[in-house]
Amino acid sequence: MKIAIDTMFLRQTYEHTGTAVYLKNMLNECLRICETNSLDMEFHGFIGPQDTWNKNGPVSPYWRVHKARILGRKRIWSLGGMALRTASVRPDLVFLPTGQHCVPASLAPVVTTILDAIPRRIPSLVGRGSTRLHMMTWLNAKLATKIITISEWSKRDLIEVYGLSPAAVEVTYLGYNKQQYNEAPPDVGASAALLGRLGIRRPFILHHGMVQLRKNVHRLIQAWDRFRERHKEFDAQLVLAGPIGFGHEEILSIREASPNRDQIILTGALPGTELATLLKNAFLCVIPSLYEGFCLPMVEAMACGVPTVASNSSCMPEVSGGVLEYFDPFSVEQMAKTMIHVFEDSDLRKSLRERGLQRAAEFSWQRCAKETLRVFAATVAGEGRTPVDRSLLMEKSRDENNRAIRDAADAKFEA
Amino acid sequence: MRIGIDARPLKNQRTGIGNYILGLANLLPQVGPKNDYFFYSNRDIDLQVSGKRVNKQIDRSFGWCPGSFWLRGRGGTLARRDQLDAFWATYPILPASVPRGVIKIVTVYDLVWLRFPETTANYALLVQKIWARKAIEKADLIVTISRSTAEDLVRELGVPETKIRCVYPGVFERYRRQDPRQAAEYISKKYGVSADYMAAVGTVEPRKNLKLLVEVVRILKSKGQLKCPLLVAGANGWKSSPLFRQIQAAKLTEDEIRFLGYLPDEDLPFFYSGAEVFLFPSLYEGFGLPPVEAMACGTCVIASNARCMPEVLGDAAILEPPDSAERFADAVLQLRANVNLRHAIQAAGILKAEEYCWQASAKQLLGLIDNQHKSSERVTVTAKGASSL
Repeated sequence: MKIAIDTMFLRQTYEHTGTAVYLKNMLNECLRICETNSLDMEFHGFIGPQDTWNKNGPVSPYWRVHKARILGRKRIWSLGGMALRTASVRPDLVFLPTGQHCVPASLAPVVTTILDAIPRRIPSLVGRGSTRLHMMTWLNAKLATKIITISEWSKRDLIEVYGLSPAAVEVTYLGYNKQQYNEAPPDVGASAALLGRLGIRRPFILHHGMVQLRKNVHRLIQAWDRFRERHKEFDAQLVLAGPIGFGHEEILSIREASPNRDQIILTGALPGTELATLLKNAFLCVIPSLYEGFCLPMVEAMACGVPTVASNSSCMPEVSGGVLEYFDPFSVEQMAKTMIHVFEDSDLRKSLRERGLQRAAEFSWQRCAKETLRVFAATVAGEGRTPVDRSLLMEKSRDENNRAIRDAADAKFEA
Repeated sequence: MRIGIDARPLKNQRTGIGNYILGLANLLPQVGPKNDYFFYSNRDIDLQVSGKRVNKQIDRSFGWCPGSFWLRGRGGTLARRDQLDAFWATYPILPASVPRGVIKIVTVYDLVWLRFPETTANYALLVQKIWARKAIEKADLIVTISRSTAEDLVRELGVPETKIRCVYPGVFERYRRQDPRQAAEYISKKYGVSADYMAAVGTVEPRKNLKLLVEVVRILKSKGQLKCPLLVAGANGWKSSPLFRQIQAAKLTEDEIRFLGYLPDEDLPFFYSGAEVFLFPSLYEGFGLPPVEAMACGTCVIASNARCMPEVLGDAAILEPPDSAERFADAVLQLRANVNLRHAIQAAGILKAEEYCWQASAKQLLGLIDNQHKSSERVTVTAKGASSL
């Protein structure tokens, strides 16, 4: 069973994008699972002339790499170059790790990952995005045999937005980096250095993720003001860790207007290790987001054993398994109340921490890979089942015979 | 907590129910080391777990009595004697008088006695008809082995959903992928059969729908596509004479379909691994462990799409209606012809089977008992508080 993968995202330039992280981790785990179970699968990737990732890319007997000169030209690769190159491998399945990149060929069943339908659902909060990407995603959604998404919530969205059949969409939860995000206590020296550099005093309340409207950071700042009104004696800071994004002007002006602006610290983008250190030092983590497909930051916070409160919108209760304290993200009042409640109740903080750890342990790249492999296998099996050679069987009515002939004709036509 | 367990199904030559209890019982002391466990039976049982807190209680009084009657009569006395906190009825029968305060957990495997009574042995049917409904009513917590059974309970018996939890069985460690050729040779040598075979596992009884397999073999033979015999592993159960009459009528020989009788546990992994394909046409199952074990061994499974099979096997097996021998034969030929399909089903099967794990199930079961215990304690405490006021 040959599986061809669009490996454009393994290029160095995309190293830090979400898709690359997803593809790399998932692929590595897939190969490991194939090895341990000696499954009859073969993964084929493509590498451009200037790319170097095959030196530090996956190494496995189940992994083949092909040179692809057109991979150097992104646009051509996206618009059919991949289909042409893939055809020469004669795959039984094509996997596209993002719904935005390649027009699937009709040479094999296609499995596409579409993380979420956020750009279509709430365009006002994330910007309109390019028409080309919208078209590509739509085309992918329509042409793919199976679509993989990352939560039941996203699945429902995709079904509604693209008019898909529920059977065509599969959910595989994401994993996270357990080497970085775990319950081990933070390194004291590293913590002191990091906090000193960023000008953070403990205790602090943390929000991590891009500072943008969708993440609802502006209401978090307002809730923080209410919190401070109630507990002036609690000398803490609000740390917003992450790069700035869509609608940051509005957020920054709200911060400027806040009476507590000196207690609100923006760190900018941080590498994973530093983020993990920051998380482990946090007093409380707030996830006020308005809309998410999976919300990896929430899972990371839970995995670090930080007491976490989250908004009750979109996938948050589903992914966190209902173990956190939730609030309505549109209500500053409720958000502040929840934060105050958790601040005042140390038993609650302890139980939040424990339940969060337990839930976060359920997610891993291995689980993600296992579920993805199952989708691959089931898709190939489903495809292999369609052409029925009924002539081998006796005892059938004439009607059935006619149907068999019609089926066979259809199958040929489709092929 | 002191937990009593009805261990009668742990006799020798275990079938599905016995395996379910064994799989969980083996792990209980390890998962919940703070509890005392009492395994009750009126006959000898094959308990493979030991420890300070594991008590094997063989009670031979009323030895002449059939097991279910013994449990009805003696269960309450034993529970009182051992001061149990919880009693786990592993067969849907509760003792007639369980002392007050003892949590009653009842496992319901399936509703065969309600939905397919004609396929059940007369005695088992009688016993369940009299007592199962009562046990389900009196239980504090009902544990089913699949969501399908839980749904059936709600629909057919009107059991409140909140009372039901589902704890899946697991796959034993020994069901691992073996080298198929070596496995087939081992089976061929030991049982004197061909090293090329199709496999089926199940007690020979009407519910397992073996008559469909006879039909499949006949169809394949008449088209000249029967390359290897079908071997059926499983003890001879009940109401099986029509099946043998059917085989005679179809003029099938031992080289085409053969019954091996009960296969010991240690041979089953080889039996599964060596098979070309595993067939499971059952009419109704509570869970259907054999196809999952076959999948764990890397064998392609063609199963019926009857109750709970789609839930348990998902898309990791080929599912066909249990009344269509043609579709089954069709699937066998497809698998034979299409290498890709075979590999895909095999991979999906191995991955799917990994989902069923005794360790997780034992944890889940103990968690349920624990929760129930805590909430009932809370109730008694508040009741006491109220009375003292």
